[in-house]
Amino acid sequence: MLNNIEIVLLFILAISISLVVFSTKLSLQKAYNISLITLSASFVFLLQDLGEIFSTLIQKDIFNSMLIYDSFSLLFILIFLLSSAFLLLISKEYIFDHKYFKVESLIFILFSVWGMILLSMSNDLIVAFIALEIASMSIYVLVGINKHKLKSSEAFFKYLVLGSFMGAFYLLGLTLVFIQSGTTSFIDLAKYISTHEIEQLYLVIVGGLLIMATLMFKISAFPFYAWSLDIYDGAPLPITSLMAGIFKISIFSVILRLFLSDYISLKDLYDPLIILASIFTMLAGSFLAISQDSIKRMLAASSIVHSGYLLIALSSIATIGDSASYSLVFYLIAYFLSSLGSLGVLSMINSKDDVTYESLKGFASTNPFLALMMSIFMLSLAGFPSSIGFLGKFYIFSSAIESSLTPLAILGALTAFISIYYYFKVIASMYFHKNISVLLTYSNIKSYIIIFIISFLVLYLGIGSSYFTYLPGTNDLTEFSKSIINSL
Amino acid sequence: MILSVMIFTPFLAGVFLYLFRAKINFVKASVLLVQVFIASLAIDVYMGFEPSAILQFESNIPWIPFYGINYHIGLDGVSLSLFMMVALIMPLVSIALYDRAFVGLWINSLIVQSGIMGALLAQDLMLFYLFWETMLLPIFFMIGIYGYGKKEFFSMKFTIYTIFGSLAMLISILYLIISFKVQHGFYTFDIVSLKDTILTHQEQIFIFLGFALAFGIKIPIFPFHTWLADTYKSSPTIAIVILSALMSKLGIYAIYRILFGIFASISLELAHLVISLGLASMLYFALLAINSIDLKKIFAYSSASHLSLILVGLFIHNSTSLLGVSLFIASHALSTAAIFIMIAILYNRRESINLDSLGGIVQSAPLFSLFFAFFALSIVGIPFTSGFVSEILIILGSFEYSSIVGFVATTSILASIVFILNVIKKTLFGKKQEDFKDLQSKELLSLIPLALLILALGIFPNTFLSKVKPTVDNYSNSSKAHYAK
Amino acid sequence: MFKNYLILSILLFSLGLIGAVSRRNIIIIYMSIELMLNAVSIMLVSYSSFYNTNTGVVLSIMVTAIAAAEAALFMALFVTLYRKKKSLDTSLFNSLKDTNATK
Repeated sequence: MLNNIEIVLLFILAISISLVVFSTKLSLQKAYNISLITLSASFVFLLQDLGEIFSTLIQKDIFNSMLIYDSFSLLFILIFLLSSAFLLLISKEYIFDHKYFKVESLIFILFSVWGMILLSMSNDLIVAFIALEIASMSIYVLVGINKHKLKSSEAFFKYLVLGSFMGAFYLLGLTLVFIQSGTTSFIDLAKYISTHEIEQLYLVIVGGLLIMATLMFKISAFPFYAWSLDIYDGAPLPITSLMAGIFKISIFSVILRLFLSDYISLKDLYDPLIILASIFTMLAGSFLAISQDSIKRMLAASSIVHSGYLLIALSSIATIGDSASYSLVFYLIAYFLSSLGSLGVLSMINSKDDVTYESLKGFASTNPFLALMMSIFMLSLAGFPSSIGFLGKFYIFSSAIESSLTPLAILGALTAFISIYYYFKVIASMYFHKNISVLLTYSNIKSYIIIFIISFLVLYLGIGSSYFTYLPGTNDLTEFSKSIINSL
Repeated sequence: MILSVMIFTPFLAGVFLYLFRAKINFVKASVLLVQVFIASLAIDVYMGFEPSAILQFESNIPWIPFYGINYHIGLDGVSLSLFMMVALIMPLVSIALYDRAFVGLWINSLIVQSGIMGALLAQDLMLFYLFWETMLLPIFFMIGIYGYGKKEFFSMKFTIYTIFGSLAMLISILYLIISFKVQHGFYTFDIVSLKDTILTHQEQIFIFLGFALAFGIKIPIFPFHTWLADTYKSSPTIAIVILSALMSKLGIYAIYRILFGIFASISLELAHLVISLGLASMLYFALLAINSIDLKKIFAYSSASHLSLILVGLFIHNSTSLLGVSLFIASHALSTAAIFIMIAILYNRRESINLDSLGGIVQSAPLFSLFFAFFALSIVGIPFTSGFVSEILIILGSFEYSSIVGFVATTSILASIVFILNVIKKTLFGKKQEDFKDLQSKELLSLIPLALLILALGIFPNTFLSKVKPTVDNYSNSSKAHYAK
Repeated sequence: MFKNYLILSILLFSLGLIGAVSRRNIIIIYMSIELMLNAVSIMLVSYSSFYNTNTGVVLSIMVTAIAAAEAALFMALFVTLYRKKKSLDTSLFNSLKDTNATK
């Protein structure tokens, strides 16, 4: 018997492959509908697995312990499916308006989501790498999908070269770990690490470092952050959203699994590095974000800062299930909602040039709804109270203080303070100017509804109380993030 | 329950009015209606308030039980005076400025009322922080959209300045609750329970400073006042009244509630420093006020100067001065609200609030002159106004504490009387200029209640003071115990 | 003996690393990255043969598969970039520089 996730994996794969086969015969509209239905049907189908904490190995006879399906991966899979479905819905007009989006683009989106699902389930270094490459390679192509625009091709070039370059380091790290421990499975590796002294683990440690470098690159952490601004900028908006909002989360899912199940006992060795990385990621991202003029570049730069916050949480983890580990999960949820929303609003603006602070002036008077939604997402990204972004920061800073990393929490608060400037500047330019904005917007009612749903979630999960028992609120989300960590 | 209604009705009404894009007349009428409704509820609450030190009209509902965060609100003697002022002043301001035709201004004033009310009644640090921050947003929009001059810049400056303080407070709050959790094994944000946290002396000072930064910026005290003049100059009148009459008092209130509630011993230990700072900034702001010629600036600085006096009274912390503080919060809120309304009226008719170009009003507008003089003098506390009683109480308290403090405080009050007389003279008297339209019935409708309230609090202060006496005694006993040790 | 193979592969990896960083032509950069992957493969295969396990060989096959997939993408990249500038010199592709930053 197949269990639910296997059905979903096969289903998405089958749909993608049949789309490839029929790609020449299908119109974009049909392919769009099919991929949307695939993603949302899988999401609804998997919802029935929510509830009890569970952990099962997928097809143990075939894959041994390479793939694991537990509550932890379920949460991430649900996030990927939901957010990619939302992404397609929000950017519908964008996709149909820009001629370079073809049936193939949708296939690549499906493949990348498939890779991310696999990534969050992977329980083996090599499977993790293959899943990572499936997702990355689809995204490399998507970045360069606009082959007539020089910027887009250049972003493709940069991302592909840097990505495969860093991929080689992952493989080297994997090989070193394998040569010493004779295994690539997370479970066996954890056994190996816990039964050996640090002196016998040199290659495992160095290998872990190399693997960490690649993963840091993918989440655009210091010192591998410089690429992300250009590439996020060069890519079409929905793809930027896919990279910054969804792909980053899938990387964090594998980082969390690898870190929590294997490298947690070597934490003291890696901690100084992670702390340094988080400090410089936050600072570098802040400086980049301040100096940007285009909103898209600003959001790209600020996503670097958010990686920095997540690294604070990573460095504060002491044991599985302590407050730091679930604050990280909570922040990921908060971040995916706000970044999906903010980039979604941007992708609903029909403009040839980049949307800048200057061109946003007076936007509130031409499109009050989108301006309001944008403001809500800005507030959430800035960590303003009454939004989910605030609670995320609140949990992360408190867990940092709990692990006696108070200076890091103070630095985090300082970067949050800097971020107030560039996020509030967006609100200020939308509202504080009387002149009529020249920006046109797509008016697709479905996209508006999705944007509204996301902003409602941002606010409701920020202040929603468990007082209304029939609607899960903030508290339930927090408890849920704690419980899924325990399923690892 | 009644308090929750008072907190959320304005907010919900504001959101409703925004979403339904109501017409201006409907908006104005409904804003006023909501505010009058809140005011009547507040009077009801005031009547039912028992003169005792315990928390009343309490409600406590779990919000994020996982982190021990509760929706815990209640009213006691500490918050009573400001609570009444928020509820009473807002409708009066709305009546006085009823001709303002901006929908956003009215909606934001409703939302900010919710924010202030919430911060005032919150008994849970997280809830307090939530309201403390959210009330910033309406002010941000009010200044940025409806302000004057370089409004975008000053609105950003004000917001960023204030949020800087708030983030310092956030770190302090987190440090505090984590220390509590480490010692007691569970999270709580309850102000009363957090008193039991054991901290080293150094930690206490750092946490104290974190909180003090946030509150000091909001009041403001020297040297965090650099946002004050610009913000007041570029703000619309409603925002100025809210900032000066209500939000700055909220800073004082927060010191009273949180610093003296949780860190009583460290606050008393640092009291002499804060008192010296308060006295210095009192004199400094008075000097700044004397040197300004813009009426808005003058009263911004003079109100900051009086707030420093309240701060001094608060940190002297004996029962006389605390009574004075409670009364002064109310009376100063009334007087500043009234005087800024007067300035707005003046600006509407003369298009100028520059001291040098004013004058000659008394001949054509006796009623206006009477009210202007009365409110200006009530700020410095002439007899029969509430300012008088409260200043006397604070000065008595400060002489109890130390004669030097008492002497400096008295001198600066006397100096400010002389200076206010000068302002009145320059504004109202002098050679008759063009005709000045006297006060209209609509304006009188809001100014007469303000004047009556000031007089009532000045002539019968005991009706109010007896309500807060038990709370004040409770607080001052702790300081007596501290000094005895 | 295994040590020698290890050194060989580390040398190859470093060569690839240096090439990828220092060369300007995209084809050479691509070849350098392939060299790095192949160095990893050599390491895996030699480990397998010296320690009598098949896992390393299996892993190296996977590495080759990934390298092949990357090759396909790189071919597409060469064509796209060559159409733009009639050259594959990386220094020509710099339009993504921070031109519209306010400073």
